[in-house]
Amino acid sequence: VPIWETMTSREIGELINGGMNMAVLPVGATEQHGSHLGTGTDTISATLIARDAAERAGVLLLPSIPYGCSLGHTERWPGTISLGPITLTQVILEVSRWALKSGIQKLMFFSGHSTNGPSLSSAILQLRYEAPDARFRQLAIWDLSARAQTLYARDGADIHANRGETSLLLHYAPEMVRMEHAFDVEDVTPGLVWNYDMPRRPAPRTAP
Amino acid sequence: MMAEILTEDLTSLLRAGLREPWPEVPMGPSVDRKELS
Repeated sequence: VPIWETMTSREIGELINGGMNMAVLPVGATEQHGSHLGTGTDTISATLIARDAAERAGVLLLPSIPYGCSLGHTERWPGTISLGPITLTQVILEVSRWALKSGIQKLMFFSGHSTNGPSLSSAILQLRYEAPDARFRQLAIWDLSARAQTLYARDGADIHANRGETSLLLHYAPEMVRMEHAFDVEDVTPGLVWNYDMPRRPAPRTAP
Repeated sequence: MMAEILTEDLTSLLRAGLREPWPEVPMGPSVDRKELS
């Protein structure tokens, strides 16, 4: 597998000079995933699907970004570590600019987390302007195809920590799953005008 | 099964992305800076 961080500089240069100028950048998140999934669920899912697909297609796999924009989960549950949307855009921009300096000309952002989307879109708008000869595309894991959408949405429109994410983790990283703590939660926002919920946060901690 | 389906679909997209030529984009007239000044 042409995995960027396991290759030497020379190997990467030779591969790119040999004509392979496409790379995949998995973009994950570190956030609470209910009571039964590890906080790296989105990163692991995007990374391992991208790794296996990159191997089959022979394209380069860039090191994953393990933090995404998870502001919607707030600090109510321990474990979430979020970037703001502007910071994430900036991270994507800088990683991409450096990948271009190595000779990458086609870059696929493969996201495992829904609210990374706006930052990826913003970064692409800027990159398209800066590098008109290169090509950029963002793709979310559940949006890969019609059958991927069906698989992910089997038990509700909100896929966070759902059956689809759990299935993927059971396959790739069963040590990240606590099935004894899994329980069903009803989707509360689909179909509403204000179609997202913001969890109430605990009062700010004060010094003792 | 789910992992295999997702991997297959991403692999197909990556392969298509490798093959896809970049079409020439028809451009409109460029800005005449003399006219703007």
